[in-house]
Order: sequence, then C-alpha cells, then structure tokens
Amino acid sequence: MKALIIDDSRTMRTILTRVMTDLGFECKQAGDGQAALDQVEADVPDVCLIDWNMPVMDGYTFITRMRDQPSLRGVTLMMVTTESEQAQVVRALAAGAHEYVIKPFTPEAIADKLAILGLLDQEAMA
Amino acid sequence: MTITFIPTQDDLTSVVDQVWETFIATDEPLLPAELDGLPDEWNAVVTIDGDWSGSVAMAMTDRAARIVAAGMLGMSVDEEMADEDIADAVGELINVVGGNVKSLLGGHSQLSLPVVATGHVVHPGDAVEVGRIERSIQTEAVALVIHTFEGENDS
Repeated sequence: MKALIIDDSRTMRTILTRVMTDLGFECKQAGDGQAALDQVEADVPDVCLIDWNMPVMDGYTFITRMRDQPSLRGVTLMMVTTESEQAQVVRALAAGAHEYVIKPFTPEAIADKLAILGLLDQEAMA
Repeated sequence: MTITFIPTQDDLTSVVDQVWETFIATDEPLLPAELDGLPDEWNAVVTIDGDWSGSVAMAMTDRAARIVAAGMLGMSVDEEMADEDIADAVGELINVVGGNVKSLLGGHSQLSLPVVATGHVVHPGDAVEVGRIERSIQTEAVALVIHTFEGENDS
C-alpha cells in the first residue's frame, strides 16, 4: 500500500513516514498541496495524510481538488492537523476527507483510523 | 465576539506534557523548573487571531532545541544537526502546542504559521503575558509563554 504524506514541516513528514512505514506502507512526501497534486497525478497513492495549514496550497484546497478529479476519487484522504474546531472538522469531512486526526497523535491513533478505513494489513498490526 | 482568555497552569501543563510525551521520543522527563529569565537561544512563536488575539511562544536553550529535534526526527542528540532541521522541529513543536492552546479557546480564531528564530522574541507594546510554564530537560531550560494583545481584544 502506498501513502503520500503532505505537510510543510519536514519534521512532521519524518514522524508520519516513520509511523506509516512501521504499519507497512510505502511512503512518499510532499511539502504542500500543489506539490502533492503534481505527485498523485503521476503516482496514485492509496492514502494521503494531509496537513491543513500549508503555503502554496492548503490541505482543504487539496482535498477539494482531489474530489474534483474522478480518477482520484478512490484515494483515501486523512486530515492530520492542529485544527480542532468542530466547524473545521465538519468542513473537511464535507469536502471529502474520510478521516480526521488532531495533532498530537500517537501511532496507535493513526493505526486505528487506518483500520477503520480498511487500509491496514492485520499482519502489520501484530 | 471577543474572548477573554487566561489559561490556567493546569491547562498549559496538560498541553505541554501531552505534546512532549507524544512527539518527543526521549526517556528524559520534562521537569518543572524555576528559570532565571527566559532562555534566548531558540524561540518559536505562533499567533492566534480572531475572537481572541495573542501569541504562544516557546523559548529554549540550544541543547534543549537539539533534544527536541533529535526526539522528533529519531536521531541521537549528539548527531550533527543543521540549524534548518532544528528550526523545523521547534517550529512544528510550537505549531502543535499553539494549536492545542487554541483549542482551549471558545469562539473562532486562526493559527498563524510558526516563526522560529535564534535570540529572544520582542512582543508588541500592548502584549500582556497571561500564562507561563517553565520546565527543564537535562537541566536545559524550556519555557512556554502566552501573551494576549490587549488592543485587539478590547475591540
């Protein structure tokens, strides 16, 4: 399974890549929504983990652009962000995000969300 | 709508401890401390603007910043680290801490992107300190300071 980690913080991309790799995903990274869009068109991932507040293109706009493209609607979109206001959560889910994780998160929280989405290899969880 | 926000020590302790335990992979605890002034080697700040306006800043020594970066990046603290990597890690730390402080507010507000610098932060003239947590790790100072921008919150 392939994951695309989208966050303007190299540190956060490193943390999430470590978590996702430990869960059995092959990971790539992008530093903003536009760079991520450019990547997914060339190499479609199974899941994107998306920060909200990024320069160039934020995570919310990335989600709306993904949903506009029929060929990319099968990609699972998980917001991973500090935005915790209920209105923002509702807004992201309404735009097409499948799951929403608020930072700070534990690896177990990420694993639980992926399991709910049916993306986790049960062997990877053992 | 404007909000008057004076965080309790328990609120700030909970935020700092949770973020530290979750993201900084170190066996060394972050201990309460009484600092002789704020450290000024690394400073990271986010501002919050909306129903409440203010800033959330973390100040720490260089060694403490290296501990943060090493913990988040999965490195040894004594490994060679570029300032850029330390700045990114400290920036992400204040981003998450600031986001969690913002979640303590009611109403609606926006969190800025983090700014990280070496040296001490000079706050606007109308900034009033409303909360502070002082800690140490391996005797290295770490402080969280919350300011409100009175001019903005009076409107």
